[in-house]
Amino acid sequence: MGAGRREVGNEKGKQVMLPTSEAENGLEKYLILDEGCTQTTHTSCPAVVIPAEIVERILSLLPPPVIFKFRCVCKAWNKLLSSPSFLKTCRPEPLCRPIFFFFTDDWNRRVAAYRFESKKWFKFPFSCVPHLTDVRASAGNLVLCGNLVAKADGFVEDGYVVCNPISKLWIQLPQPPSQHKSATSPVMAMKHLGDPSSSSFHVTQSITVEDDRHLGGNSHFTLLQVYSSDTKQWISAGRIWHTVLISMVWCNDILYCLNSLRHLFFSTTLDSLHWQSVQLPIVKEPSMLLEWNGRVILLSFRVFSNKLRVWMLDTQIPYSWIHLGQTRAIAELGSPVVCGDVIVFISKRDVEAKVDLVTFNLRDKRWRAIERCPFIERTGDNVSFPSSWSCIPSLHSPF
Amino acid sequence: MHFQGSPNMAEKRVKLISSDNDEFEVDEAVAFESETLRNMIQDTGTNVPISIPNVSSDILAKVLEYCSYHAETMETHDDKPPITDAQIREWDADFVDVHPATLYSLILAANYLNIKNLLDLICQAVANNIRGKTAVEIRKILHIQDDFTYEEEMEIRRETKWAFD
Repeated sequence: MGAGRREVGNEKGKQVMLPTSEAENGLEKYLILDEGCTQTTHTSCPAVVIPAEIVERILSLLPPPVIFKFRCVCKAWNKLLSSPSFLKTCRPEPLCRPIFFFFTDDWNRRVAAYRFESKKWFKFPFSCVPHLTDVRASAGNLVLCGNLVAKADGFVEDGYVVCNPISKLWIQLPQPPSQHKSATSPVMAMKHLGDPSSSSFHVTQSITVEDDRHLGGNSHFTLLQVYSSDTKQWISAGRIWHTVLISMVWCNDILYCLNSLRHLFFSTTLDSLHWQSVQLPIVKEPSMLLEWNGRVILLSFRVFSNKLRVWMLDTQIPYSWIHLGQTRAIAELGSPVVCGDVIVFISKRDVEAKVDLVTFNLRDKRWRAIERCPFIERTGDNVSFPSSWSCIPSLHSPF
Repeated sequence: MHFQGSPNMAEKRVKLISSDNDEFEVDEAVAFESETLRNMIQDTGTNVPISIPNVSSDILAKVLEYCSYHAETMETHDDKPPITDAQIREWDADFVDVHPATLYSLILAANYLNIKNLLDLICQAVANNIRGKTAVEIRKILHIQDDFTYEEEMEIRRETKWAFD
């Protein structure tokens, strides 16, 4: 707005308030600053009036944690420092190390955050998305949530929402263009393109489709669909016959899939699916895939003996699995997440609402318990595992 | 009138008059660091002294010190090695190492004179200056009225605690 052309009048000792074109955002347009001179009272002290756009510019140069601290300075600052237009100008650097989050109530409305460096639990406001079911995947500073929409006969799940829980910005993804109905709950994976602060992401959905026309008998296939934030479209990446995916993960731009028959296969490109398979170290145990530091992690859980084992894929040919550790401290697999260098397991020991958290450190290979979260409000009616996720907190959003 | 590349460029002088009626004379290249002055000079030429009614002498002197140094860094001399970016950064860091009150006055001058690099430099310096302050200190320094109720403030503190605790 041609700042240099503006007459910012400041006659000696007298403050001059100037009209402004940006009154609508409710900001205090000018702030009065001490000259730091021989001041006796505020009224007699000469003051400098700084235009609001410069105050805004100064605040946008602050490191992200300070932006949160200054939200309680005054209403105008709170409004500015939480407005999407301001947050978009902030530096994309992470606020701190990755944070672990999980829903603490039966309705997935309340969230607790755990920070490993301070070993503290915090209540985390997560009311940005109008309706959500649970978190399906996360990558970098973004989380993928199932979206609920109110219909006449109650809430209906309707596509997905991708949101940055720190800046509270979110977008609703368009519906995947599928005429097929998934027989099982879709398996989701998400990845950032490039570094974590990059502005593009991919969401991959895998649905299982029953196809009774095929060869006259009952048959099913998995349909892979990919949403790209660059094209803002879903594309169909292909079908995999006679298989039901139970876990899917992106690792070094390779999509790894685990099916219900415990076959692991991967494809380096989604343009023309060309699957290669890897032998698993276990055969019949429920298992899932995670990604850590560019490595594929496999969790396997032996139900009878409660034995949970952690493996890492060694991609030196021939592919092999490195056994990292095992425990009997976890009663069910649930949906563990990788947060920094640890895998966080939510362990429901009993039918009660009690939730314990156990971590496995992938570097020192040790199991530890996290102090119990003080904010849990689960009644025990909801028998499913609370949805949990991890994110690298940053104000940067690609939308 | 463009003097770019002319050997006489350094000899063109510009007269500036501060709010307390002190006269400053600088090379045109120095004045050109300011977008505002550049426009004025291109409109009216260098014969007429330019009055800068809202910048005091001490602040104008400081601004011109900045402009002179940065105009100089643009020039190439055969006999001297060019000034490195590290040297410029060091000079800039010394330049903004002044009392906060001076910084705030410099912001207004840099904004009015439209010297983008100087404004960026001072904004960063002010940001560094206030980042360690508490919300209460900020209110005091910037004379901001605390318009929250106790409950509202506690609510915001609770919601944002995770970010800096």
